[in-house]
Amino acid sequence: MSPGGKTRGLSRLAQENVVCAALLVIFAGVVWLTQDFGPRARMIPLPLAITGIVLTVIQLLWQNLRSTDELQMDLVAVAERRALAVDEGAGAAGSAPAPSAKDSLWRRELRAYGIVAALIGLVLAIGVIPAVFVFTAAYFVLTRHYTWLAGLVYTSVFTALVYLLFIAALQIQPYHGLLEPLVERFR
Amino acid sequence: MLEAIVAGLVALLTPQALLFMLIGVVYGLVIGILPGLGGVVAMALLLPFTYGFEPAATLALLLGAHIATIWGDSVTSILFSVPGSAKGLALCFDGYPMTKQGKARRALAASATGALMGGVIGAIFLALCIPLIRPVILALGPSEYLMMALWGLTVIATFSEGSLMKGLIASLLGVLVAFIGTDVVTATPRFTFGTEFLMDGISFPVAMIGLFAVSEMMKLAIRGTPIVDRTLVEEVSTVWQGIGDAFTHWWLVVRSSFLGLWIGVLPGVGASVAGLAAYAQAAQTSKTPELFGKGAVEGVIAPDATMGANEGGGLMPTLAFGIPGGESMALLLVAFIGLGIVPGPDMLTKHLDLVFSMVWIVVIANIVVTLIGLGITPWLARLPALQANLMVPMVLSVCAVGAYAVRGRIEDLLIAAAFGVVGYLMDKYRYSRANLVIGMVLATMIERNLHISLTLHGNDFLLDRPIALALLVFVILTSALPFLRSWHRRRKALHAKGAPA
Repeated sequence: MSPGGKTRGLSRLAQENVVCAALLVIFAGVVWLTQDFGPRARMIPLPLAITGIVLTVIQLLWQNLRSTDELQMDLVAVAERRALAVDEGAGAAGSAPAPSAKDSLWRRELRAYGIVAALIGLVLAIGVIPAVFVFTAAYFVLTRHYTWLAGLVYTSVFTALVYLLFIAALQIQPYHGLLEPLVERFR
Repeated sequence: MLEAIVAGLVALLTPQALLFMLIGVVYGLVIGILPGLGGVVAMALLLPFTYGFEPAATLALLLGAHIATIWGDSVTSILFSVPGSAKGLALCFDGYPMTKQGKARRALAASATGALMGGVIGAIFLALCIPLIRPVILALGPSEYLMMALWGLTVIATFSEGSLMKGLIASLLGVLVAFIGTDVVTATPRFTFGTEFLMDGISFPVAMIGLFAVSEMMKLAIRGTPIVDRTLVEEVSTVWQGIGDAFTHWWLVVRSSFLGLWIGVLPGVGASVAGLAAYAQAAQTSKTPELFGKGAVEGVIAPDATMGANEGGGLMPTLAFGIPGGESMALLLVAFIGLGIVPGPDMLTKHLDLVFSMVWIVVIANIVVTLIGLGITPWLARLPALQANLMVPMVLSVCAVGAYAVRGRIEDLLIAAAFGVVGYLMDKYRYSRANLVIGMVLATMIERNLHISLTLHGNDFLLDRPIALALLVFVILTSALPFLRSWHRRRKALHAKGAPA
């Protein structure tokens, strides 16, 4: 992020405006949906949604009428600056910069969304407990933080603990995943 | 009465009762730490195992587990900003910043000691107030509950992190999220888009898992460094500092405990509101309100003291009238029925020894939890220094299983993920996640009580209910107080600048 609050893609102000636009769509959607409700059912949601629209418009105007520097910077950007500063110091001392500092923020954000999506996808496909094992093992392997043996040991112990706590002790019926019928066919 | 106090203690001092309490406490601590699972789940899962034992042992197991979950919730809020349930939310605001400043031991110890002091105060007042509280509860109706819920909304300004407008928008969103599902008053399905799953509404623990746990792990994955990098921030605090903090702020503990007792006595208000209200009153009455949200130890002590005392308060209407103060107390009622005990006025005459057994359980269980808590604090304080590459997959996995476990519905996993993304974006663009949660907590209470008030007393219900009117004045005054203080401080600063040297 540049000192003026601009990233390589959208500026901070543009991002804030996109958020406000999304909020306006949500509040307007609520107003539209409440038209199907009875007077008592919409007694509170309708005025609240209208208030939401008014507040969002005020926020939108306010953030566009003041200087960009006044917009609050997000923590991740601050953390990124700090990481870069630390890495510059470390680089001067002769060590290689951390891999995370090389990537741009949006790439790391995209990776974080991907991590969550991967976990959800795995649970939906193969069920809760196998997904915990596969996800954790894959994370350890892909980040290369541990050797594959250490990663496998940690993953196995962790999955066993999750199983013991949630399934054995708390008697929660596990979800078996969308692929269960396929597995059953080969049994 | 003295005989009943002694008999209540003697019934507890059997090996079976003490063992049951210890099992309950350890089990409760584990459940409390797991995301999404709180005291209600802990008690519900224990219920089938309680039949056929002595009443004191059964209650020691159930109440011990329930009390332990309170501190278990606080642990993850303080260390990872991941509240185990709604109750632990208020602990995130100052506990987590303390952890990041290398004061995790102090925060955990202050939290455990605050909860113990609150629990003891709650138990003492439970013993003293049972005969006195009946007329007070009967004097309050939906209009007064509505005002108390509105008072809860006054904390929004406290959590708005510099932008009141964004804070208000976040709380409005929270209220609207709470309206998803079947309307409790008119039975109208609202914002369900025809899906059967959304008819039950958004599960509160699932939303919390997403908003806080998933989004925090996303932040950690993006940053790639531990929550606390020990090469940059060393652990500088001790357990004794935290214990000392709780005693130094004894007046805050007493005030917060009374607040917890009061909220506990009111049926249906709940400990999640208690924690937030305690945090707000601590911030509003502090001499250094500017430190709140940045690692003020008062912000840790107050919610824990309130939640500790809340249990004693919750027991009052449950025992005296058979009206449960919350979900966990409703489960306790089920246990009473299993034991052949009918709560109500008879409890204060025929089963007074059992009532005092429960008072003793609250005291002893709190002491056991605090001793265990203080003992394991040095080890717990090391957890935030774990590598992000270890934390992210493990915590996300537990979140996924926890979100599914809340209702046993896979759709909740999608809800948790969606709230995770929303939570991350809200944090990035400074829309307070806390305000969204406050909106969610108070929405149903406000809507239900407003409808009932209008039906019972008409549009001028405030004129019919003087207590509600007095509470409304109180709400306005406490809302204005932070602004007045800030204005006064600015004026003083201006005067000081303008004064000749």
